[in-house]
Amino acid sequence: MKHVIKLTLKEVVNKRIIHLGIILTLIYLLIYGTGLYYTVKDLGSQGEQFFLLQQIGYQLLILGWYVSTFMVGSMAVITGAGSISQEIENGTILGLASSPLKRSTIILGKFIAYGVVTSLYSSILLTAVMGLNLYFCRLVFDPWGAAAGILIFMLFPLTLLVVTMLFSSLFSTMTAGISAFMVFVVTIIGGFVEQIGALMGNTALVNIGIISSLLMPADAVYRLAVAQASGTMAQSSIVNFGPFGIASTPSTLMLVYTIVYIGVLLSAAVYYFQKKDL
Amino acid sequence: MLETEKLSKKYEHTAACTDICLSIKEGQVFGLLGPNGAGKSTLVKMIIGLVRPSSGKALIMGRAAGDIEVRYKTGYLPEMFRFYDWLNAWELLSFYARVYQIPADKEKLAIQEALELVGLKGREKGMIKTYSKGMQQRLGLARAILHQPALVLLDEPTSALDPLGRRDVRDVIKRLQQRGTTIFLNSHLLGEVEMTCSHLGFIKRGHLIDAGPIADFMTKEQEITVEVDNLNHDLFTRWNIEGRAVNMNDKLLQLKAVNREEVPVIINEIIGAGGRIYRVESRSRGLEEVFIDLIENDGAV
Ligand SMILES: Nc1ncnc2c1ncn2[C@@H]1O[C@H](COP(=O)(O)OP(=O)(O)OP(=O)(O)O)[C@@H](O)[C@H]1O
Ligand SMILES: [Mg+2]
Repeated sequence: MKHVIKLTLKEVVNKRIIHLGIILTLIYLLIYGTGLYYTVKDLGSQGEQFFLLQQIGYQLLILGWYVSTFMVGSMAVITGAGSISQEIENGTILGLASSPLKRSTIILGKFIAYGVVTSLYSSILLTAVMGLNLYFCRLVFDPWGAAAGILIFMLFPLTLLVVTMLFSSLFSTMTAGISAFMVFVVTIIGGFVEQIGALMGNTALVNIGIISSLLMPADAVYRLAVAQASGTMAQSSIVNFGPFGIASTPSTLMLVYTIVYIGVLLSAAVYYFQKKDL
Repeated sequence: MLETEKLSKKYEHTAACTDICLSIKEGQVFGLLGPNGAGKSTLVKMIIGLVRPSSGKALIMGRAAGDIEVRYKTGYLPEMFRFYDWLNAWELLSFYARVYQIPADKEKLAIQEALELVGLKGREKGMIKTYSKGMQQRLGLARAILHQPALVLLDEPTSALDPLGRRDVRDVIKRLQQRGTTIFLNSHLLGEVEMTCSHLGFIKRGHLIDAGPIADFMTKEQEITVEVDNLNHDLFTRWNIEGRAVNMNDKLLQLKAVNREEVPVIINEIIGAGGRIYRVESRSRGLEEVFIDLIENDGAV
């Protein structure tokens, strides 16, 4: 197993698209930081304005996290899409799969390596967004809540990764990438629908959102992470009511569901890969 | 060493292999010959466990194909493959040395030896993406023999190589044979197989037509030419039905696929039926002719 993990990590380090991703991330953080800087400069942070800045800062934080989910999600889809199918298309899998490595070891090793990379990326990105807010808007955080939020959010790239890897064990790289991305978009829309439903008190819309979360819990994970990280602040804030917010917070049972979900889909990927003629 | 029992693979539209029964003993160099699409690669992939048989089974050293323990003792060079082009040759072999659990203190030596055998010594620090097709094939061969397997499966090991490279591969095979390694070799290059193999098999459209020691194929089959007048036409028809390749041109009768012992029998038959013989020539045929014949006129398929 450790050989596959090491090899996969090495592959990630050598992938050009990952380099591009890192550069884009830095640009994003730069723009985000600049935005915060000018917000604070225009608003001022003294006296009465401090309360307002906290409100706006919180809103910007949620927005920053929300945009981050796109970057983390894309990263997970990009790394996972070719994980199996590309090796089959290239013919590199023939070497691996004819060696004493079990097919399950190959999939699990890859999942662990990609999982570590994407969840590490997501934690660094979220921490950076939070840090910028802390620095510019002097947001008040409960550090444990923030840490818990970041930890929960690690499940976000993992759910997307496992879906993408399952697709990659079934379809071509192109198909796997596109379908995983479509699932990603659908889950986001499902999340939107749920929040709007909560806002309007429309249970039908909320239920649609819940069903979409059951099919693909990534968005629910995001809402849970935000709820955790914002802690006591969330209750007082008006900005929770919005498509990025947490007007409807998923139940913590969703976390258990997500972990089971990852396990089941990973087993399915192993199953289909084992059945495959190479 | 290697046994297959009615091994078959059906794809959606094609039967790639049908009821292949093979038995290869330790130390043999077995060459499997067949035209494109005959099922050679599919057979090897079933043996190494990359492709699931539709029915039948393959046994290596008494264990089922694809068994992990067997993999440690088997080397495989795929036909169409690539290696990670972001590694250099040394890194790749080092990765596989660990996968095959070569002890750490022997790793370096094993890699050096394999590189030397395939003629890549001195090039091991080059990134694989800079390798030519032939160099990649050599690297594939190095990977296949790195862990000193008891059985080596080579799927067209020389397809990308220049004449010098082909000779190198023949040398590698000889060296392996001297070590007692059993070799299974896929090819459609007869000269290749003739020089290296101790045993041969012929495959066509998924059917194993014939297999045995190479000597059998070289002497068993003869071709006779008979200058004959007044040949009984029934005889001619009967030979045709028997599946022999017959050819009558003016007064020259050509008969292929004849065992040496059959020659006097056939001549007696011609005379008995009233034929007048002026001349009989018989010659052993080269492997190439045997190959083309087996593949072209196989009564069985
Ligand atoms: N994955 C697959 N799906 C469907 N058909 C396949 C597949 N792989 C092989 N075949 C078919 O099975 C038959 C045997 O193919 P195989 O690759 O084993 O031939 P081969 O003897 O190795 O040929 P070559 O000399 O060209 O390498 C062919 O008709 C081929 O089209
Ligand atoms: Mg082939």
